[in-house]
Amino acid sequence: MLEQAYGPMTIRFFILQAHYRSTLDFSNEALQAAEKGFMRLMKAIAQLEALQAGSTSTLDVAELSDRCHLAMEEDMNTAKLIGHLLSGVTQINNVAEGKESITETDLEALKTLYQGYVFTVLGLTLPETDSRSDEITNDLVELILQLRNDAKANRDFNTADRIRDGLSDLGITVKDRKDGADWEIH
Amino acid sequence: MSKRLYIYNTLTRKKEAFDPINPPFVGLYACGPTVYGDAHLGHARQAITFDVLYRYLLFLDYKVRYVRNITDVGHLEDDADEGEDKILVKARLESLEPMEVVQHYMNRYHLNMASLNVLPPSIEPRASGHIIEQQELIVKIMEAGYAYEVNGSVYFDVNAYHEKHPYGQLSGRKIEDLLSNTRALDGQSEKRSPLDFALWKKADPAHIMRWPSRWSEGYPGWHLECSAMSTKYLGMQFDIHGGGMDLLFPHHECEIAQNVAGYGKPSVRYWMHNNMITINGQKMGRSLGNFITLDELFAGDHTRCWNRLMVP
Repeated sequence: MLEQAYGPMTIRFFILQAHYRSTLDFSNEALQAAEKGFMRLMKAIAQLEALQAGSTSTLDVAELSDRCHLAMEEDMNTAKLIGHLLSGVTQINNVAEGKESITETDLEALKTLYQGYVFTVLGLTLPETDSRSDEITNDLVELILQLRNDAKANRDFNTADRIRDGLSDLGITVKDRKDGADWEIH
Repeated sequence: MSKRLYIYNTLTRKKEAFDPINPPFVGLYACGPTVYGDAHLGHARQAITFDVLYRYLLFLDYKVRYVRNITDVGHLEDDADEGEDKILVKARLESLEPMEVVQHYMNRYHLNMASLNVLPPSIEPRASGHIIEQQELIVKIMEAGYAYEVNGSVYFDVNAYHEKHPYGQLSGRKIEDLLSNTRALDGQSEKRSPLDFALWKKADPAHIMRWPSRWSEGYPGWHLECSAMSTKYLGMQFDIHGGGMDLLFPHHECEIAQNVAGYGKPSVRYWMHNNMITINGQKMGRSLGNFITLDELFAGDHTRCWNRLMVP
């Protein structure tokens, strides 16, 4: 019945994505979708901190704020609220990519809006990351890729391929570059 | 920020502007768990729903007293006041004291709620700690003529109540329909009508969760604790009472009848009910055996449940 583990915040997000008076059907697909939505929201909040303010705003923060407020005012519609917050995420990403811009004042208002609704009202928290084990994972993958580079330098392509395939089985994709390799965990 | 809030009131079946009795204070009561097993997704939904309401009221600058109870006595296996106490059954199965079962599952519930970032309530009263308050309410209900004693047990007289006050308003059920849908009482029953419910039950010799009373050594009926504890901490009239839709009938319906019978008027302004979690369209519940506990979700392992289903 369970395809994977789901973090407490994924479950909280899954529950809040429905209005409390609607039934909510459990499925792995629905929880996986909730996990994606939650991560998307959290990434955007982290991104907010790094956004560069510009001289004009293409975002209407006051309007977004009104919509969020209205969603909660109307019988605590967390489903609608999350919908509005996610539509704001698209715009936050646009600003990060330089497709839209935001003034300093609007940026501060946007941060307050997301902090207030996401953390204070919806009670979501940033996903727990274990920074020490993340660090070890990074160093280990770097070490293994170093050994693979050495194997390639010795024309031991058998070993090099075994390492690449082994990492791939663990969900780590390796992309070879001229000056080494990039890698990514899925 | 404007403080407007519209709440769907189950009692009136309408969205109503929220207008607290004594602003900026808000009294909020929500039914907590009966602690005889691990919390599942359904518990999470109820707790998170009223946690967000609590958080939002605080966000709107209300001063909120949030009471969420723990049911540790009186919740029988069967809604018709038959069967055994759920906690007692578990205690016998595991060779534990009933209060060990209660403590164990209450601790685990608190851990699960902390993981889900559900704020602890302002007060978390336990039914077993409020036996005197429950007995006092029974006396009031009897004095008002809405309860009767048989062989040391006390029952609420729904027909006597219904002659003066409408019974079934919250759930929208009619007495006549309820009667035609209820099994007739067998000769053994102490009740005058199948709709009557226990306020106090005399304990069988084997029933170890028992307290002295003027009627018998026994234990309170399940519906009583919420009436007694909500008014003790929130006053005779308070703002919001919440719970899962599965509690609407009979639990909350009986609660209203008890308050009106004992205190002369209803206590709750707004009734709020969260809907159920379904799995393949069927309600998820402990009694249906299709539930997934929170610990299983967090671990991604549901084998325990399958084992249990295979070994009845």
